[in-house]
Amino acid sequence: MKSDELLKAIGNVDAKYINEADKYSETNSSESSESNNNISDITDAKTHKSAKKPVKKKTMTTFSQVYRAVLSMAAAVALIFIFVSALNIYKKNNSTASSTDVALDTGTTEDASDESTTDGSAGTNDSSKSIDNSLGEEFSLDTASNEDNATTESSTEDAASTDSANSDDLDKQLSASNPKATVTTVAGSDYSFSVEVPSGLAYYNTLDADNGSIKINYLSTNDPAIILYPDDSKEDYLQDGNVVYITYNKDGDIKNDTEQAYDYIIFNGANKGLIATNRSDWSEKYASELEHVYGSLKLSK
Amino acid sequence: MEDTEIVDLYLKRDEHAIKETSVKYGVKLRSLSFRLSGSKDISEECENDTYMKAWETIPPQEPRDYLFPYLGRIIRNLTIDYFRKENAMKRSHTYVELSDELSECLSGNTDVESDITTEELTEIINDFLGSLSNEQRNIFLRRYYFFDRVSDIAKEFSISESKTKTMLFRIREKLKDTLLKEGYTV
Repeated sequence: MKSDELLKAIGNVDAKYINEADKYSETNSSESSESNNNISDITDAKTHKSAKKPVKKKTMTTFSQVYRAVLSMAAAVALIFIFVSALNIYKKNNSTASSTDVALDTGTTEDASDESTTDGSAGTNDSSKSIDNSLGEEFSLDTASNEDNATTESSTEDAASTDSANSDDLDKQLSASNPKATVTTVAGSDYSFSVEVPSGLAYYNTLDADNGSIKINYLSTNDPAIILYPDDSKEDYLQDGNVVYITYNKDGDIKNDTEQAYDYIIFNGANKGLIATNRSDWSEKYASELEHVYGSLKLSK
Repeated sequence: MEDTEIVDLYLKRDEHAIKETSVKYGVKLRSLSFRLSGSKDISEECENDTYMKAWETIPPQEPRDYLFPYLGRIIRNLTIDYFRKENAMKRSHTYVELSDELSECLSGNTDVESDITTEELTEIINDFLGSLSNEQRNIFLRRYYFFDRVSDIAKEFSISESKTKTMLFRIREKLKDTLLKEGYTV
């Protein structure tokens, strides 16, 4: 069987399917009529030697080209703006991280003086502490009980704020993470979101698209927390960017599946990932099912 | 004019049937052929042949409820047949592109595959289309029935081009599996 026979056979399918699909050409009818007008124009030009219609055709084509060019430029400007914004945040947080001495794997105890500087606030040290905890301990700011008595009060406050951050309210979770993650919609797409996460949240996401698991590796604090994941290629998605696109199917399996909506996951330096989604049910349904297993988060249904 | 009235004209052997068909569906039919052939001459020739074929086949056919699919089938087949007769070098870019894409659905031994009749294949494809979601089915047909460009399909369905390509790829894979299950391929 040859492919053209298959192509031909597709033309013989049930008329109800054709009529149904034909409805979708309505939106494109102006284009098709334009192309047919062009065909007619060419015919008329040949027959009547008329100069007007070809000129009209040319004008329409030019307008279309200009329109597309303007759209392309607008998209490019938007991308540059997003990139510059991300770069600024990245730089800003680099300086913050270095000034507050963020460390990823320097043990589980922290200096009391560091604690006192973060009293009552979810500062960058909170993030560093979260990262430390996630190396082997269950994420909880109650681990402050192991620390100096002088820090207990402030740690309790941190724990209280973090507990509320772990509530179902995603906005609270986002605002509770510090440095604060900002979420913006990427121009020109209904489902794509960019997530700008400061480097203080340094995690390195690798996505195994085939088995639906997410592996989390540590990066230095200077590295961006979120990694670009283009929707079409499994390779080279770990680029030096700070935006992640994660796609998943309706069942919640995270995979390289562009058939469904995009989502993104922000890992807040703890063993519980903050999940932001454009589908309101997703985060509630699956957020609690992310398991922390030796530096990796595995999604379970 | 309604399709049923046009078909009635054919049944009465009234030559106005061809004119009315041309008024109502001429542009669509010519576009369909033009998208595949990329040639104004070929599309016009196929359009005229389509009217002729319709005149010859109605009656006994009475496609009152499916006049456009009926005519569409004729002009598609005429356009495809035109290219099948032609030297490969003369085939249009779109034709080659679509053939290549659909060849992914087929594999292996052409001797075995040649046993498939068009009717059987159509039946399989009908069942296959029935198993798809509305969106998948319409995207598949926009591409392989109406020969729309991927960019146009993406625009029509308000999705990205990459998503459209991915969907088409998966649908083709599914069709390949279906054909394999039917035992028509190696």
